[in-house]
Amino acid sequence: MILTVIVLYLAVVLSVGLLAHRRSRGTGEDFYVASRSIGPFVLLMTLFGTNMTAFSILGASGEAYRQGILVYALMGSSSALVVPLVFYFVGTRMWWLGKKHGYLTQVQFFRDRYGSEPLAVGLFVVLVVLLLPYVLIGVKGGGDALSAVTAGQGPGVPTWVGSLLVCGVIFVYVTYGGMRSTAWVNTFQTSVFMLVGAAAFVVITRSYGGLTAAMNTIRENHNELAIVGQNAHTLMTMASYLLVPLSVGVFPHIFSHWLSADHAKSFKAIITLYPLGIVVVWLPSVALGVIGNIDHAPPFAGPILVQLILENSGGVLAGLLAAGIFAAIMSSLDSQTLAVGTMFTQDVLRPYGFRGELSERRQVLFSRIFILAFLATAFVASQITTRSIFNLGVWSLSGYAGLFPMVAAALFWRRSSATGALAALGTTVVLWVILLMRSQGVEGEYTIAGSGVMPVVPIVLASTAATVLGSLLGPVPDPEATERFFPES
Amino acid sequence: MQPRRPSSARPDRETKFYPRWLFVVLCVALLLHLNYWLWGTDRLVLGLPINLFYHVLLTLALSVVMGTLARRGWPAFLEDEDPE
Repeated sequence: MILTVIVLYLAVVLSVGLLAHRRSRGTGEDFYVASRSIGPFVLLMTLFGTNMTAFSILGASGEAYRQGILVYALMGSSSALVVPLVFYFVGTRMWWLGKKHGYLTQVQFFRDRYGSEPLAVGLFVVLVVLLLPYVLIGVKGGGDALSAVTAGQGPGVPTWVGSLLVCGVIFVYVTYGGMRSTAWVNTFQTSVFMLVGAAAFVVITRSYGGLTAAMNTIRENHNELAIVGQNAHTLMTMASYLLVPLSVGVFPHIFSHWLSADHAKSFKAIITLYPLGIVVVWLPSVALGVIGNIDHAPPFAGPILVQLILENSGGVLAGLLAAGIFAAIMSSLDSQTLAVGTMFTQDVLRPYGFRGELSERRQVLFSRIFILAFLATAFVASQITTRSIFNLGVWSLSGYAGLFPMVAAALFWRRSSATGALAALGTTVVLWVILLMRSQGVEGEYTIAGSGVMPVVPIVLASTAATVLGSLLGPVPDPEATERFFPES
Repeated sequence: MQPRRPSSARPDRETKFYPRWLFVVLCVALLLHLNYWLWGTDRLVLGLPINLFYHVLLTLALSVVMGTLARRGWPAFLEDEDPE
């Protein structure tokens, strides 16, 4: 039953992707940014779906199971505050610049803005390397989810099956329809995982005699999960987490969705409704994770949410849950894959391989080949790497957040220069590597000197200082060349 | 188009394209986000532990703030249909 639901779901995903392709204009711009024609509703759903990963469903409930309700404030509430503002300030401006100058990638923008080749190359490498753990988590998560959901009926499907399914389905619709198919499929997938989360919440709380009864049991037996520890450590962690969502301003896969918008006005829907979406996805995840403690004493191996669903609902809901998890994973992985395919073609192949003499048809063909190679590599790597890759998730976000000051400076500060951007890039990389090495062997979550301050804080602060100092100390940029990047001029 | 005021310092000119009230609202939102005073309170509101309820309420309020920002605080340059 569960497998039937999943196969049906994947069939619908493929049909939506193939259907979207019928609207394609057959150009390179259509493949990469859907001819910059995506309206408010699809933009809302696809951006939200891209930003909600498997972590928002499985990871959030797992963390809430261990840490309690604090997780909602740490990760949900903070992104509801920061992400819409990043869309408002950075997203709309990048869209404006992309449309004005015809950019398809961030590297193109930075190369044009500062005219520095070392910066373009360095940025490309850092953006792609930081994406790798993020992508691997998705591919591995798909395998784990399918295996856990089917485990109720025997040994469960081997994990490689789920990973292969995720990669295979994404390959078909991303290479076939590019951004247009990706956006349409994401719209469908986002609806699915929102509905599934809500359904799981209703069904599970009901079987515990309602939300109030379940939470009262938690208060009596696991009081520490229902409150937040009043100490400096928690306060520092909470403040640190406000910086993590800045990564959204630097993600290549979010960038390409921004560029696909038809008008700046289309951003209004996502800016307004993003916090609401956070409630819809994170409240069930966190509440159910906490409730998981009632029948399952920690440590519980495997996804607690999947366990609750299997215990409290029939095969159809379990199948839908797996579909919902697949939806959350695939709606991020497809955008990431497309972004990497676009970057390899536009940032490496065109400037270095063909010196600009590459027809649009061949560009798209090469992008498809890159996407195939990237997914194949991700699948193989997901089979080799261990579960410790999951710990790299927050590190990946911290690295991207470290590049945020450089993005903000490029958009808002005329005096910022290539020297500042290079200094920020270098500082982020060096500090990131040092802190990652220092975190090895530390029990639990690594914070600076055990204070609760997360690595993202020194990374962002140092990178901000590097941007400012580098720009002020380096050569002054030509004011006339700079003006075309500022709508105010 | 938003009226441009004469400006002495160049970097200042930029901010006029974004609403000033946003800065105040942001500071308030940050303070409300770090609701230290409530953390130790153990009570249920509508079935949710009070700190979870508080943050859900805060998130919903943010949707209202962001909606106002999108309606009332939209920078003039983004109103142009085509940035060519």
